[in-house]
Amino acid sequence: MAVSKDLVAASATPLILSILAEGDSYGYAIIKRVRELSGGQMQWADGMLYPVLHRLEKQGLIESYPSTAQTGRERKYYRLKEGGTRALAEHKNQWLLVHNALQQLWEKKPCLT
Amino acid sequence: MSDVEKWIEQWRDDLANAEALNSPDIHELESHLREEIEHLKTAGLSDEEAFLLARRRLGDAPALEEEFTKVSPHRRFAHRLSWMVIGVLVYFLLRDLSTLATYGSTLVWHAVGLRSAHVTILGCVAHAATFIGIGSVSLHQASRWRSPVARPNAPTPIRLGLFVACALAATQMIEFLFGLVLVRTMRIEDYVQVAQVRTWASLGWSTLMLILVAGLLGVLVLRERLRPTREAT
Repeated sequence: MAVSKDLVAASATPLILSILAEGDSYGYAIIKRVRELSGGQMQWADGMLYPVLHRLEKQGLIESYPSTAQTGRERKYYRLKEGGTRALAEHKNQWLLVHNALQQLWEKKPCLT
Repeated sequence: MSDVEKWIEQWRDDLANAEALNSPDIHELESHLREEIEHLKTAGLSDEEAFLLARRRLGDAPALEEEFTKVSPHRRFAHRLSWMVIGVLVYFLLRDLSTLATYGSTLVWHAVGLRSAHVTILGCVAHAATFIGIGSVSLHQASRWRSPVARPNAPTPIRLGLFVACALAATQMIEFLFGLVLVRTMRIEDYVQVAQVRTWASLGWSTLMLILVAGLLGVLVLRERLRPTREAT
């Protein structure tokens, strides 16, 4: 079951912020982590990640820095900023709220009367 | 150069045409593409299969440009504006160089002892020949111009604009000095003739430029209308 495009788009920011909360990372690794977490169900066009990263950077939630991997390849790493940590906490509250609401609805026992 | 490198270079060239993407954006995407190719090759895919799949996963150039435009909507405008400014500067440079050619040729024909009517005609011919000659070379070079993203040592539009602006300033200075020399060395009736040549030539080229610009705009509008929408494709 593939996740709908709208849901993928809506969850992009909290997913990226959460992955960066685990530690600094770069585009390719972030995509791989999303695939791994969703069991390949979240279909991101890989290139679409970068505009989101750049938007978050513009908003001051994350920042980038260049780094060279052991293979010699230059990568652009991203790390969470203080504003990003706060934004992540807000996102977390909102998603948990939605999650709890849906869970209550779906776990409700059917009314027999 | 291996096949993969050629394909990546071609892919980079295609992306370089997307105005919303700058050099660091494309380098970041290229790094991603290379990592994905390596990963897919490790999984047993051939070079070609790995490249095609990695490119597909990354997304095509129009889709990427659309997404990047959302983040930096001004970039496309700034890119187009910079080329418009360069175009105007190049036009003024061409016009001034043609005027220099008119002055130079007039001096030569006077020294040779040609009649006034011949001097006027030859002055106009020198003006037109310079304009067409340098204009054609400029257009030829512009058609072969590749973005700094595709060719790292290519001048950026800003550097190119600065170069043309400096060349224009230098040409205007030479033109001014040349004018002073002509005023001091020529008889007033001969100088009036030079001024006439210049006026007619400028008037002719201004009219021609208006027609060219109007034609170009017409072609662009027509292309835009004939281009199928992305949704339809």
